Amino acid sequence: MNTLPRYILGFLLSLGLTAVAFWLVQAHMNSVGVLSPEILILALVVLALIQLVVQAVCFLRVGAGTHAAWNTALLSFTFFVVVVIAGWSLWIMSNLTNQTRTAEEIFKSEAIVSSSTHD
Amino acid sequence: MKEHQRTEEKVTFGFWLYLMSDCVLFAVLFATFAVLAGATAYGPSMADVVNLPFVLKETLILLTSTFTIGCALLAARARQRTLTMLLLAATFALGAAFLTMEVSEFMYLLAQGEGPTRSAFLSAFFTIIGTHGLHVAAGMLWMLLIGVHIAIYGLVSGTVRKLACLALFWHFLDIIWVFIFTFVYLIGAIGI
Repeated sequence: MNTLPRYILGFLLSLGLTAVAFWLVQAHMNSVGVLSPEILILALVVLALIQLVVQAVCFLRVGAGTHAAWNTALLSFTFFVVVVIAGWSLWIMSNLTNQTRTAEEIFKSEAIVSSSTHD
Repeated sequence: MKEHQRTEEKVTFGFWLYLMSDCVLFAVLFATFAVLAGATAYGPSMADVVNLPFVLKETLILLTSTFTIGCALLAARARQRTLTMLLLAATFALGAAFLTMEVSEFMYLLAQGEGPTRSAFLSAFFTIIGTHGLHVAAGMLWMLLIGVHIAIYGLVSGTVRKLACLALFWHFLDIIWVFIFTFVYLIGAIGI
């Protein structure tokens, strides 16, 4: 059974995690951030994943109730599918991008327009 | 009572199955957005489109609403009808505020000539935000119907079961929003 303290804890933790993520990006935009863009993105992803766990445990009650094992198994499988779809799409598409000529390169080599048409 | 509990657990488990498949839908949209984020066709990029303080307000509103609907479920389980109705009304109002903000963001972009037809990136942006918005709208309609149900029949076990599913749905939408906030808005604002 869900309890109020559990909800309050989830709410406060989520608020804190959101605030930290927002502040990190705001600091970066105002050029007072100390993190490089790559580390910053990694930090944001980690913060989002922590918030996923917090909300799943505190709000969705994953791991509680009589169907806990089934719920958790389903959730893990879905997480796997999500990683496969999103992660591998990105991997494949970035490989393709690296191997494909851009529109400008094609235009230039075919002498359709000069390369200075767009900046 | 035992039988009621068993039914409720079965129903929530079935609903959980639906939520997981909905998760896959959003995963596809996230993948599409990530792939197309750079395809701006010389139009605006995410860094040009994003208004961080505005999005933070949206996030806080949705986060508060996921808390209030959780409390509404607790109140319903404690058979406190007035409190349940009040908390549901609060959740509905927060949902409406969130949806209004999403629509005004869309209207603003459309007025700038930066609609979904402008570039592949904007198509992906409108699709993922729009799909989430539609889910929120559906959740609000559902909330309205449950409110009417409670007003007419009171907090019978069937109604509480429906409310439990709605609460799951609403929590799920907030988790999706956490990822939209992070991957679409925050990382988009950094703009690599």
